[in-house]
Amino acid sequence: MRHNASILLCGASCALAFSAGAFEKIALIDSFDFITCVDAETKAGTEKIVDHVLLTGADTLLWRNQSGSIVRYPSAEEARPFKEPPIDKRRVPLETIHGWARLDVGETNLIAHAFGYISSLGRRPGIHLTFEENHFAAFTFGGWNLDHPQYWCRTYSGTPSCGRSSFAFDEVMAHKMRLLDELLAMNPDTIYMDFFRSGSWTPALEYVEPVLKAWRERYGSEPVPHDAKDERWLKLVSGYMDRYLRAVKAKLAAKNVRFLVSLVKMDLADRFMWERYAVDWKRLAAEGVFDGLVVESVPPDAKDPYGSTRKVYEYVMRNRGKCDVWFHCNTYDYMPGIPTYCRLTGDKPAEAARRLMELARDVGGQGVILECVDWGNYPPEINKVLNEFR
Amino acid sequence: MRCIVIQSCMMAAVASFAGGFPLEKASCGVFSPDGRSVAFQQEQDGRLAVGVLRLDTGCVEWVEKGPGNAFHPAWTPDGGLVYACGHLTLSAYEARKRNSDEGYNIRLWKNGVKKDLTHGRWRDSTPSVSPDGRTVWFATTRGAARPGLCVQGNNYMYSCPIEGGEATLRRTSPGERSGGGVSQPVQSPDGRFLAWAEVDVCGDVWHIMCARVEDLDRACRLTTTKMPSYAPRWSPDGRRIVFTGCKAGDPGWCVYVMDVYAGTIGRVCEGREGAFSPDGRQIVYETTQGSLVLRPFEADKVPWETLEEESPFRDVSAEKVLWSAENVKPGGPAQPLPEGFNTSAKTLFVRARIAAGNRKIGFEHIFCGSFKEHSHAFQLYFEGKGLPYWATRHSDGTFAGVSVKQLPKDFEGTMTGVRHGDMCIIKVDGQPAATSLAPNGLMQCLGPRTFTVGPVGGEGAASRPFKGRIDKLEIGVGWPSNLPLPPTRKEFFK
Repeated sequence: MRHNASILLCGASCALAFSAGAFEKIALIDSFDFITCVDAETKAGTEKIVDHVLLTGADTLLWRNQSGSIVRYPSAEEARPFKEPPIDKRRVPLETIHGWARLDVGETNLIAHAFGYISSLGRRPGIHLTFEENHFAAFTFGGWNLDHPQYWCRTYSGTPSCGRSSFAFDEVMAHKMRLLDELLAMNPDTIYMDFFRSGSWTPALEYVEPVLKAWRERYGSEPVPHDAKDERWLKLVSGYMDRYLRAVKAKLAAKNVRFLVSLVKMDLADRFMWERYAVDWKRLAAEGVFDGLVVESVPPDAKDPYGSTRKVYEYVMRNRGKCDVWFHCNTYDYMPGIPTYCRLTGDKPAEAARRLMELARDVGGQGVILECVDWGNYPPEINKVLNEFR
Repeated sequence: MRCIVIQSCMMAAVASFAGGFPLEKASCGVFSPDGRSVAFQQEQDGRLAVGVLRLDTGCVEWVEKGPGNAFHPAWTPDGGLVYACGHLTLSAYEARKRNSDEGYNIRLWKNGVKKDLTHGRWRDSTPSVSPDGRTVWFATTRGAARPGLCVQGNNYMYSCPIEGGEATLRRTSPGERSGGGVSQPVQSPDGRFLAWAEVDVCGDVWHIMCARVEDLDRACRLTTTKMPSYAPRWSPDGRRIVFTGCKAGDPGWCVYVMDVYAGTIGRVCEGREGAFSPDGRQIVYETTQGSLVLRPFEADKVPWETLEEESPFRDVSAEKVLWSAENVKPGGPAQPLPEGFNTSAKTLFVRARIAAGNRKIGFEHIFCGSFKEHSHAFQLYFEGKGLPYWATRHSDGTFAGVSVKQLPKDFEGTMTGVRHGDMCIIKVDGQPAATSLAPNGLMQCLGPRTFTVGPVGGEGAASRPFKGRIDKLEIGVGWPSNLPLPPTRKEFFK
């Protein structure tokens, strides 16, 4: 499926405009990460970030809307400023420069500004929507979350997980939909839901009353499984995940916004998305709940890194249902990226980048994702390769 | 520290509130020592201001009304106020470029005169004053900034003389570098104890801690992992602590009272951030709608229940060393983990007596235990910056780790990592133990189970075997004898 969103073009930028049928390079951008290099709290700094990212030749730029639950725009749903640390005693402040950045207060919506600038350059703007509600730090907890401890996730033993609300609660679903409405009001072309950034959420945190009640209704007095990888438990939790994903799809479809989701740690066993996120991606892809799949990472076999990666890519292509598929060309290595392939093959980074790009194109991919473009992490020699693929 | 005396030009700014309460958009109310006033913070035009409500007239005197935010007021015994305030005008980038000293700091207001007690680009917060009026306790981020770290947070407990002078570090966050923090240290009316809120790691929940003032590192946890709790304040008789908590089944945050001597707890009402009146018969608190109100407190009407003791240490068994070796050489092949070292045991530990070797320690492993589910199920090591670390993993790979401060280059001593229930604990000689929670709790241990002295492949590939001396390495179950058990509530409040 090719998405034909109309793109705002202007002046000389028209020549750069993304065209249907092209090999699409999607750049993920977290303006927060640029804070040491440019003044990311200003419009001028935001434009500098876009200019820098465009050195990669990216066609689509997906702006991170949040870190944990700290949003990057003035949000009525996650109202600030009084939720900031140390004013809100429940947040532990971060004392580095990053901790002082406030992208969610002030009169300017910097994401909307970035969108306008990206569109003016003939590129597609969108949102990199992380699944997480925390980014492994208490300063990233959400204001709504902190105000509603009754909806926090719980472990089997009943310990609350303060960094995550359970979407088994209708109120949490409604909150998430209100946040989504705020994003859609900025007119993104694409929303990409990233499961890799999950904030440690797993089905093991869904021992909350609505799910326990559903268990009792379905399995009577049978003990709730301690092991969250129990297939019965995963199916139960996946019901809530399905509900959430379908609700997201419905909102996006109503506005003709592409809905992409990530496939994390994809291999031929294909258990990770199910066991870690209770996402039955093949079924949902077949049903058309997603418009696109993004293979964020593949653990390559050391004996045949590219060959083993190709096999996984082909497996995803065979099972993509109604979706287009993007693969990765990542300079970071926190998921196996270019450095891993270099280490395993002896390739230079530019050569590894070229082989990953070719692989993505050869198997019929729609394009690649650049996860994520920070200041200088895509060096000129890799950018040169990326720009050759159009 | 810079001390500035600021003449109050706002003291005459008085607004009237019909009936006094409720005060809308107000929070953090605290009674004055004479019971005639309540200090509070209130949202005004997108800023927080600190004011004092005179209960007899319903009039408000504004103490700090911008520019910037003022918040977390607390009284001095003689009727002054301390609070946090600051006005941030620069972006983070500009502030760093200009080496700005804009921050949130502690200010004293007394008889209309203001005096900055702290000054610097930190975030000081939740001040309180000792019963003798000489010491200001507060939480702060000073000393917590470390280049290269952008995902963890930390704040520490400090105190400073109310007359001005250097602030002193009183307690660091347990689980240094793990996102822990402290908040709202408050001294008991008799001056013997300090209570505060603490979170040990990102996945932990806020809980109330207590210790004798002279030994804050020997602290006991008063509330359980099942009940997030913060914002403690003592009752005037020192018998009770009012705090904000949420138990399973609660409709949201509630005002709770704990009788620290009886070991009981009772929910007073929905709401947050309660504080007792000087006679103990009223509580001022913030409603769920965000207004400040008063309500009577009648102890005999509180539905008291026995405190679910946070005693993960109640049933500890004595240590039993399962494997031990002296003069261990790091590296070498994997060995089978001893029988019994699995999570059917409540407590597991790895203990190493080491010598650092007068050098800077890098990313180096002392011990790595592997189970079928994960090749790095247990690790006793030093992370990249040389912080001692103890980490365990959930069977799905979820990491739960805890660290303490860097060791001196010439360190010689013992480093112990403990997995006890869902807690990860590290103890290094010369430093207090640090604890974090593994929120996912469950750790399955299926075969094969092996360990190496030093690193193994996979994620640890960048690591190297410990380059110092390992004089003794022990693997065991039960509570390690070199680790003092934390005190209990009963020990403090007999």
